[in-house]
Amino acid sequence: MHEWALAEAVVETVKRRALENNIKNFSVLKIKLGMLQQIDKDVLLFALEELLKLAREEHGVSVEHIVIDEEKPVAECTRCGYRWEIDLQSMDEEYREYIHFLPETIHIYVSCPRCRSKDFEIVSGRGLYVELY
Amino acid sequence: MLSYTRNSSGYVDPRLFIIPEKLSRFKHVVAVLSPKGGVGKTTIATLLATALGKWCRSTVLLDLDIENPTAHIMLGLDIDNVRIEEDRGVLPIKISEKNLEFMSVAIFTRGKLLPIRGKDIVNVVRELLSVTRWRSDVMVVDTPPGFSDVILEFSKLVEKVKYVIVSTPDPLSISSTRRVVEYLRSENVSVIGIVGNMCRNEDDDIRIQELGKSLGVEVITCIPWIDNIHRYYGNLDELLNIFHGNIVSIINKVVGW
Repeated sequence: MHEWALAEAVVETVKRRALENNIKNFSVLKIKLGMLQQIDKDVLLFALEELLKLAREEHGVSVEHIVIDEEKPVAECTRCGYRWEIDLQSMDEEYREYIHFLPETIHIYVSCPRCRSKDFEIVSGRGLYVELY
Repeated sequence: MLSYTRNSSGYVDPRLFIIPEKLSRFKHVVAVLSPKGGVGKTTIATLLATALGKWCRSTVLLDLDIENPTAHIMLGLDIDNVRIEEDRGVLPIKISEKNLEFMSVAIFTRGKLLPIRGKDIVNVVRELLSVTRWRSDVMVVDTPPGFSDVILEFSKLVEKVKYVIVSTPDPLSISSTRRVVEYLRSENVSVIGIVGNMCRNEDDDIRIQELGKSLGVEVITCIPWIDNIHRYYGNLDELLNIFHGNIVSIINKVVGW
């Protein structure tokens, strides 16, 4: 599962943060989840819970709550400056799968709605980011 | 070591923490590098990875040329029909019977051009390194021409990488090699050797040897010029026979037997 690899990255971040700051317990693990990557939230949560269980047993590091904030994918055209929300629903299933694996492949399948350029930047909602407190 | 850096919103990129962990399994990471295009980086990286897989230990070839990946053509891989498999991460593509695996952005772009810049390039490098479930002992990296985002990001994330610089006897290539070796040295990155390529005669070999001497970098081997080398694309066994001695020298230098 691709989601498992992302969960591993999140839990590694928790362990490193714990080690660097000499903290054992975090009250909230906040995850900003960009919808461009089309992560299966349930699979991600399952993987996180399994891996956090191991982190608790092996390293004594724990997290009380996991909060997931989903973020819509937004692009900005580098040519004309137009900003728009990327619509994945109308896209071919095969292309959506490539975007799931590598969100930047969106540049192959999407153009700026105003000037048709593929030279745009993904400004938000790309992937997964973490905050701990 | 990477520090726990936050962006302006307070969020961190967890891929930065899993990449060193995931890459720690590799005994050797060898990057085939040259800022000059057309000097044979892809040929040498692909041959080196194939030979390592065949003769030594499990090897993965990572094509880091994001805008124009071509290593799959050298391997004879039908990229349009490759099936992407997942098992706790994306699995590299197994190249049959050679103890060799392969990862490339081409697996996801299916031969189409990926028009990206800056931050998006950095994201592709981080994504490939973090979500792939690496399984081999050795990683050979085919790098793109130039020296910008891809190489800067890769060298930031992978500290133990060994650089092999490819240079032809052409003055433009020699100038590029000089430049990149001087830069890497200023960054305290060790260059383990220069591989001369497309050397047509003794004079060409001497030019490469003099380059190495002036830079204080060993010339590992000088690979001769081969007419119509494209005949061998997709048939690397034949090319391995022709360049056997050269590839053995590179393997000896970069990983030992």
